[in-house]
Amino acid sequence: MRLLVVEDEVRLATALQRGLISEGFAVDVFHNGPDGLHAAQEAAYDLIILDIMLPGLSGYRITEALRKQENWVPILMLTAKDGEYDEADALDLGADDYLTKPFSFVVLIARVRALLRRGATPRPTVLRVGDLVLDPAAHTVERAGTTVELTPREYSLLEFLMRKAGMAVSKSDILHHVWDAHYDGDANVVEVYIGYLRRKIDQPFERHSLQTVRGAGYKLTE
Amino acid sequence: MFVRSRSLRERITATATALFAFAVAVGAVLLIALQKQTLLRSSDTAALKTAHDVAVLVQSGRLPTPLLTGGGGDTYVQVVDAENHIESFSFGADGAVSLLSTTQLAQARGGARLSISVGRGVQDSYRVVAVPAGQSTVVVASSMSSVEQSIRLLRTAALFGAPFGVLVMALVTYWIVGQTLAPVATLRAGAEEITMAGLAARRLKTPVAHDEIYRLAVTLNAMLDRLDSATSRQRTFVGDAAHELRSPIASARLQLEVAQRLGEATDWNEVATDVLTDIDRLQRLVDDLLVLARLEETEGALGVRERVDLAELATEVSRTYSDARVPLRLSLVGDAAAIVNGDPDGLRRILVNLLDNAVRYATTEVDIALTSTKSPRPSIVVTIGDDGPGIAVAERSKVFDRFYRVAASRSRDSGGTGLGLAIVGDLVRSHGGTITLEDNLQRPGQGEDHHPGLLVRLTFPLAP
Repeated sequence: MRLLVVEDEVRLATALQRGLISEGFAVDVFHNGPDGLHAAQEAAYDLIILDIMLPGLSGYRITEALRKQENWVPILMLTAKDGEYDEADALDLGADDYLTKPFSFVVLIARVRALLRRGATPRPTVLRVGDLVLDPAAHTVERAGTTVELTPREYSLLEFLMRKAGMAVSKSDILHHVWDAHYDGDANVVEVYIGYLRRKIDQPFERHSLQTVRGAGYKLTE
Repeated sequence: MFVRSRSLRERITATATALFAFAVAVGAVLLIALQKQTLLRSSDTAALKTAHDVAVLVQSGRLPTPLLTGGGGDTYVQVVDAENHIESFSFGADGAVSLLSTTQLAQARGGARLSISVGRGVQDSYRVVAVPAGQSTVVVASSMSSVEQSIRLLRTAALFGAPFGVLVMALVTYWIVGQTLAPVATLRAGAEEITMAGLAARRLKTPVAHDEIYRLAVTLNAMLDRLDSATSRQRTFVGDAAHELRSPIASARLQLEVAQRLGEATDWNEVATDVLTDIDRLQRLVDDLLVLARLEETEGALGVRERVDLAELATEVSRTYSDARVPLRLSLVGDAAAIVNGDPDGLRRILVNLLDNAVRYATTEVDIALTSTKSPRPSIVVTIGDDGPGIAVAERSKVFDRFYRVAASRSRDSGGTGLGLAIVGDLVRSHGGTITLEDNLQRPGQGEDHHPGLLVRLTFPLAP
C-alpha cells in the first residue's frame, strides 16, 4: 500500500513517514500544496494524508481538485484548527476522515486501515444523473442549471432514487428508506410523491427520467 | 416601589389620568357653584323687580287683593304692615300668617336675602326678598325648586359624565403612549433577538422616522458593529493561537510515539534534538503570547518608563549577533545623545525582533543605523536594512497582524512565531514612536528579480 503525506511541518511529516513505514506502508512526503497535488495526480496512491494549512495550496483545494477529476483516493485530513465548520467543510468537499492535531499515532493508523478497507470506490460529493444534479452538502437540486425547489420528503425520495439511478426500486424499498419504520399509512403515498417529483423535475423540462417499471417499481434514468 | 415596578406606559397613563381626574373634579365643583350663584341672582333680580312693582302700588294706595302678580305658582307676594300683619297677598300665598318672623322681616327690610323653608305637606325652600313701602313691607318669596332641580341635574351629569370622560382620557393616553413607545418595544425585541442569535447574525431595525429612537438605534448598531469586529478579531486570534500551539505539540508527540514504537531502531539522540526544536518553538510562542497579553492588559501604557540610551542599547544588542548567519553592521551617525523615555526591555525586544527577521532573510549583510533629527520634532531614527527578498507593498500593512505570514515564507520552519512584528508594532506605539517598511534602495536584492531588500524605519521622540 502506497501512501502520500502532504504536511508542511517537516519534523511531523518525517516522524509520520517513519512510523508508517514501520507499519509496512510505502510513503511519499511533500511539504507544500502544489507539489502534493501534482504527486496525487501523477501516481496512484491508496490513501492521502493531507494537512489543511499548506503553503501554496490548501488541503481543501487539493481535495476539491482531486474529486473534480473523479479521483476517489481516500483522503484523511489533518489540521490543528479546531472549528467545527473546518471539519464539516473538509468532509463536504470530499475528504473521508478528519483528525485534529495533536493526534495519537495509534488512532491515525487505525483510521488509515479503516479507510483502506473501504477502498477508492466512487463517492461523489454531488449526485448527477444526466443534467439532474443534487448537492447533499448545499441541499440543492438543479435540472439543466435551473434550481428546483423540493419539499424535504421529495428531496429525500429523489436522493434515494439518484443513489440507485438506473435500477428499478420497489415501492416497499422506497417506503422503507424514505419514510421511517413507524410509517404504517397507505403505501400509495409513494405513488403520490413520485407524481409530485415528476411535476417538478420532469414535466417543466419535458423529460421522462422517472419511469414506472411495471410490476417492479420505479427507475430514474438519464 | 409599586409605581417603579410598573411599565413606563402604565405610569404615564396613571399620572396623566390622576391629574386629569383632579382637574375635572375641581372644574365640576366650581361649575356647579357658579351655576347656582347665577341662578339665584337672576331669581333674586326678578323677585326684587316684582317687589318694587308692588311697592309702587302700595304707596299709591291702589292695592288689589289678591295681588295680581306672581306667576306660575312659584312666586308669592305678601304685603305686611309694621306689626307683621298681612295687608295683602297674591293668589296662592298665605293670607293669614306672614312668611317671615318679625326678626326676619327686619333683616329682609335691611336688604338681606333669606332662604326659608315653608312646610305644608311637602317641604319647600323659598328665597325671600323684601322691599319697604312706607310702613308696610312687600315680601316676595320665590320657590327654589327649579334652581335646585337644575343644580341637581348638573350634579348628576358631572357625577356620571366626569368618570366617563376620565376613562376615555385614560384609554386615549394609554394608546398614545403605547404608540410613542412602540419603537422602543421594537428595539427591545431586536436586542433580545441579538442576545439569542449572536452578534454576527443581525442588527437592530432602525425606525422609519428619523427621531430620537432612530438615533438611538443607529448609535447602538454602531456599538454592536464595534463589539462584533472586536469579538471576531479575538476569535480569529484565539483560533490562530490554538493552531500555532497545537502544531509543535502534535509534532513532538508524534515523534515520541513513533520513536517508542520503533524501539531498538530509534536514534534517540536525533529524536531528542527534533523534539527540543519543537519545545523551543512552543516556548517562544508562549513567551510572545504572554508579551502580547501584557501589552493588551496595560492597553499600551508602559509599566516602566526610564531614560534609555538607544545608541548604547543598539551596540549591546548588535554584539549578540556576532556569530549570526550574516554580518551585522552598526553605524551611529552624529554625536547627539540618543536618549529616549521608555521601557528598556521593550526597546530591546523591538530591536531583537527586527534584527532576527533581518538576519533570517538577508542574503549577505544587515545594516543598523541611528540618526538623530530635529524636525518635525527632536527624535531618533533607527533604520534596519537587509538585502533579502523584501516585502511586497500590498503586504506591508498586514505583516503587523498577529500570525500573519508572508505567503512565500508560510512554512513555520523558518523559525518565526508569527507574532514578532505584531509585538514590535504594539511596543513602538506604546513608546510614542512610528514604524514604516520601505524598499532598501541602497541595497539591491540578491534574488533573481533584484527586488530591493527591506528597510525598517523606526522613529522615537527624544527624551527632553
